[in-house]
Amino acid sequence: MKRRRALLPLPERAARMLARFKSIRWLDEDEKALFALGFAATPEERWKLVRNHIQLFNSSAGSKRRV
Amino acid sequence: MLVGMSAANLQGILVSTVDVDVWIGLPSRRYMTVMNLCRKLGANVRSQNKAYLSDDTPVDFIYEVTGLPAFDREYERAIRLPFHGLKIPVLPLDRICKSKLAAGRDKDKLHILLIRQALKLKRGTIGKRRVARPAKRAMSKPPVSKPK
Repeated sequence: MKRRRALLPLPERAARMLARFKSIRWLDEDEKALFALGFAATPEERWKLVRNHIQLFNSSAGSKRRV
Repeated sequence: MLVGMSAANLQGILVSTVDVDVWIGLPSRRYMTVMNLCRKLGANVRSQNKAYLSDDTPVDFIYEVTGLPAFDREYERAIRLPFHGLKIPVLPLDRICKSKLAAGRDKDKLHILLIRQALKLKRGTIGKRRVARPAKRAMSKPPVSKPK
């Protein structure tokens, strides 16, 4: 039976992913960092990141609608 | 099945999207089945294909997706991702891109670009797997007919 390794913290995983993109020339560093964060995160973490981002603007999901 | 940019989000593209699009494998005339289920779950039903969940997440129910074949065919090749303790079917990135290209809306242009970049990155770096190549066979030369 395979043992599951404990998941590293997201910033560490993102840094490792970013290191893989080092040789890529067709993306900016900012874009690479964003993709690295996206790919390194688990689906739950991705969902949270986007929801937090939306809540910053108080525009949709998670914010109380005004009636 | 989860489609649209929320599906792309679950596959690694960090892009904001307003609502969650869910493709239902039923004919659109049976929308009441879905809406009744939403009401049972405590959602706030707004229209035939829109509901707000108890945590205020807006959900759009889609019965047909532009540019894609029938639900059953897409469901077979859907990716199953762990989410909220469940394995949910998610439309793969290349299929999302195809549907957005078929829809041809202005607002999708940035999304198409991001999906293409993500796919290129995945193929180039993440998806690199060692594929066993078949051993090169010694090419047997065809017999050369001697000129008479």
